[in-house]
Amino acid sequence: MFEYCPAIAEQVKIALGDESLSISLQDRLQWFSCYFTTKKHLSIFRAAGVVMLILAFTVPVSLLLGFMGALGKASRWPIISQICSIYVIMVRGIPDIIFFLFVPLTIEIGIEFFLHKAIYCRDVVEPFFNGINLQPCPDAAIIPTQFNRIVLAIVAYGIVFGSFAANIIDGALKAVPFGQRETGAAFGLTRFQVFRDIHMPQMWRFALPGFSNLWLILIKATPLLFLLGIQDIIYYADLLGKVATRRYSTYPHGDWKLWYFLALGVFYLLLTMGSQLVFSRLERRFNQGMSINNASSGRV
Amino acid sequence: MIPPEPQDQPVIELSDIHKSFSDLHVLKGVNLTANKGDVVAMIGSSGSGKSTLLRCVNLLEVPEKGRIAISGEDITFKPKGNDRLPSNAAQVNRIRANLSMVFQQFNLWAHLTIMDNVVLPQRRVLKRSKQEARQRATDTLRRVGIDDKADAFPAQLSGGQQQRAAIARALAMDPAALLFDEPTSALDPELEGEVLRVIKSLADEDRTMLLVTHDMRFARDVADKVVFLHQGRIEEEGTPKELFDNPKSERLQQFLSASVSR
Ligand SMILES: Nc1ncnc2c1ncn2[C@@H]1O[C@H](COP(=O)(O)OP(=O)(O)OP(=O)(O)O)[C@@H](O)[C@H]1O
Ligand SMILES: [Mg+2]
Repeated sequence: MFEYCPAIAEQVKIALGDESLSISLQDRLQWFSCYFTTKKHLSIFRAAGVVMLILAFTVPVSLLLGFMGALGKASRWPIISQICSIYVIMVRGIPDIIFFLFVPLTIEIGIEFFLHKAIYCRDVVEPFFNGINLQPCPDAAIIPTQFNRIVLAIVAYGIVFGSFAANIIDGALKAVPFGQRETGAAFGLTRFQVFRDIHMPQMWRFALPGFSNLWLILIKATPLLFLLGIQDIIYYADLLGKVATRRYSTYPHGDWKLWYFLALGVFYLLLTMGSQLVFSRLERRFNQGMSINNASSGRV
Repeated sequence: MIPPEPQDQPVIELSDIHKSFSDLHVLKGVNLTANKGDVVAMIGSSGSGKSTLLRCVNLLEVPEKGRIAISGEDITFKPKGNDRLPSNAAQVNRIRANLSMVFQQFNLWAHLTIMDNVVLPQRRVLKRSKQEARQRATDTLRRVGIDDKADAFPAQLSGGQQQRAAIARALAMDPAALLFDEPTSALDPELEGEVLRVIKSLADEDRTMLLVTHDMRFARDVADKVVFLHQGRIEEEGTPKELFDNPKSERLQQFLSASVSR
């Protein structure tokens, strides 16, 4: 990265070999600036970026699915309301790690099956399931590129956390006092207007504590990304923290795992603390004018 | 034959209204008419069906039998299973916009300021411009004496102020009739007066009002007609003088002596 890096590496190697030589502060800083910008090291930063990217996309996807699930549950059509009821209830009873394994696998098999049957392999004689293995024809097999894995991760996290979110939204919608909605109807507002102007705005204050919790669970679930084949920050922290000797590395150091994991802890802590700040602001905003022990919020 | 002028139509006309909640037959054939400018007070013991009847007028409850006509317009129904539903949602919303309701629990929208509470239904239902709706809101809030609270949230107001704000919200819709369901019974006695005064001043303006109340003195004071509801039927009706000074039925006599001694 920096042009002085090869020279510093040489110097440090010599210094490590000879106990009598001490390294100046300036050299140390230069050494770190080289160490942190090696190709290997940049991948841990990239992994941190991937985590943030997945978080950033998972939130809207799960909110969308959450709303669809919660609203669909109240649908007039039995099929939709039943599917959505199952979606809302599924996370309550099944450990989420099962979903992290199950959902991506189902999606992957589903897509491969679809491609196999419908698009690429119409002339292929071998069946998709040969009794032992699922084998899509080569054209239909999904190549596990980094991009595909990230998309799959977002979809899987979106579905799992969408189910959590549906649960929260369902409860929050029910928590809005009925009198508030009925009053809207009594003044001649349409069902949609009642939903948009009264039900939705009042729902947030009941949903936010749940969302804040869910967001923390989501952040803390990102290490599970390795289950989906994504080499995440923990993998790299472990890799880079290991003893680096002169023989194997340009920039040798001792066992630094402790420091690496400490840095990871700080990273996650800053992420969660920052988001708590945002949430407490939102809560203040949506609780504006609300007093918990005031009867005006509806029927008593 | 010349068709009657719209003004000559009763504002509210109910005939043979029946309403049940599963097994409970609450209204058993009620007829009620409120002409333009009438203040009709409904009295009756708890559970006699006063609220239910009032809620049938603007279709918050759907009566399974009977006719409802608002300013001469008949509500149309369609059968649904063993029951029935209004067949035209737009008609229901139009009629509701023309009959503003004031609830016992005020039911101001808790997430909106007093101003926005009064503005919202005007904007959404009457499609008034923002400026026009705010102007009308300022007028009605001044009318009930709380224009200084326009930017406060409902929870920051006393019960009496909240109920006056709810009345301003109802007035701003310029409805054909106002429906009140025990507007002061959730209030402390010392706050009742300010709300009753506002309602009295509205009654003096010849507005059409249907009012459920447990306050006999107030009913006598404001009403043109008093209706005594007993077990889902109208037991007796007439001018306040007739009903309070000269009750004919034994039930009304019992009811009145019980409420005096209260
Ligand atoms: N949504 C409902 N579901 C079931 N029963 C109901 C419902 N609403 C009212 N009732 C019943 O109908 C009867 C009449 O109720 P209503 O509220 O009309 O009485 P009311 O005359 O207004 O009484 P109060 O003076 O206590 O307000 C009561 O027995 C009540 O329990
Ligand atoms: Mg009642």
